[in-house]
Amino acid sequence: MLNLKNNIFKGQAFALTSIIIILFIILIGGIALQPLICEDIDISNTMIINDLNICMSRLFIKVIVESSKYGESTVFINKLNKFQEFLNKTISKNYNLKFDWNGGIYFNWNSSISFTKAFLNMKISGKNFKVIKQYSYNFIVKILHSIWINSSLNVKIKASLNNKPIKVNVLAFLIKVNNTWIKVNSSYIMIDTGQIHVHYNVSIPPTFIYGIISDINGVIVKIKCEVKSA
Amino acid sequence: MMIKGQMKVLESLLSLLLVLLFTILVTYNYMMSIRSLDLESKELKYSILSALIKLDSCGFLSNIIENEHWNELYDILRELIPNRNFQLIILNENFQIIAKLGTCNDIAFTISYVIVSNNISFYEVRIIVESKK
Repeated sequence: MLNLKNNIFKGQAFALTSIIIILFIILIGGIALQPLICEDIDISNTMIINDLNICMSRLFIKVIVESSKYGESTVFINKLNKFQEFLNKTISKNYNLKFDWNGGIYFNWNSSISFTKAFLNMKISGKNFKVIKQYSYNFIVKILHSIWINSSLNVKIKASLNNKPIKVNVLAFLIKVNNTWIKVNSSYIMIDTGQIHVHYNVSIPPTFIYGIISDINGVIVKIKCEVKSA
Repeated sequence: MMIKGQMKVLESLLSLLLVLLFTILVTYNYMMSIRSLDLESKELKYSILSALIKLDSCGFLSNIIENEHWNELYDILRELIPNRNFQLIILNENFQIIAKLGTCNDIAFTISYVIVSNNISFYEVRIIVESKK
């Protein structure tokens, strides 16, 4: 009787061990097959991020140009908000993406160090991923010196975009003589990469200089400075 | 008697293992076949998007949009999608349809592509591609 009980117990243990081994084999097999049955990556999301990068790079510069025409940030904010609304109603629906932006534009004009600065962070969130792309624009114009000596006005200006010297356009250059603004002809203005030189003969000492300078994209900076007399 | 019982249990477990193994293999094969059927549409989608990105980065697409040369864009896409019918829809930033070319009955997939023009307007180019018959 005891022997029979022992044999039943042995049979149960054998069956249990077999089940455990089989489960173990199935588990290992499942793990081995896992990489083959993993979720397919949607390549079109990557392409759409490239598309949005092209759009945003173009839009970012265009809105800075447009905002700098008026010297205010309204155009910048309104246009980017409209773009966000447009994307979230069109492209995001098809690709299950969410688009966000934050950033700003700053103007410091009519001084010896004038600038137009802007920055933007574009955030695209989708299923299992998030992309953040940063854009910045830093156009600085610095008046190095502005001296009237021996009936001649000498002005040296430095210009840079994102810390690199660039060739600029002088849209207007004026001097204030006897409370009257006089336009300086472009033939008195020499433009080199990153530098502007103004050499103008005037018998009465000017009190101020004023300039409107634009970069290659058309972004404007306005400078103003007192003239030192030697 | 006892050994016979144990053998029966082992046999049934082994057959269970075999059934499970074949079920996994058949399911995997089925999944792979679905994926390969869908692969052609995916490749087509990828090549259309790649072409649009290249045309956009050189400024060609924004010129087409600004000059409203919709037929030119449709012809370019026709070269990319030779064996299928497709519909081209252009929406402006106010979500109004400004152009609609071609026809499409049974939709395989839709492509949306956004363009920013030089005058700071944005457009959606929507391409609806028909399933392969």
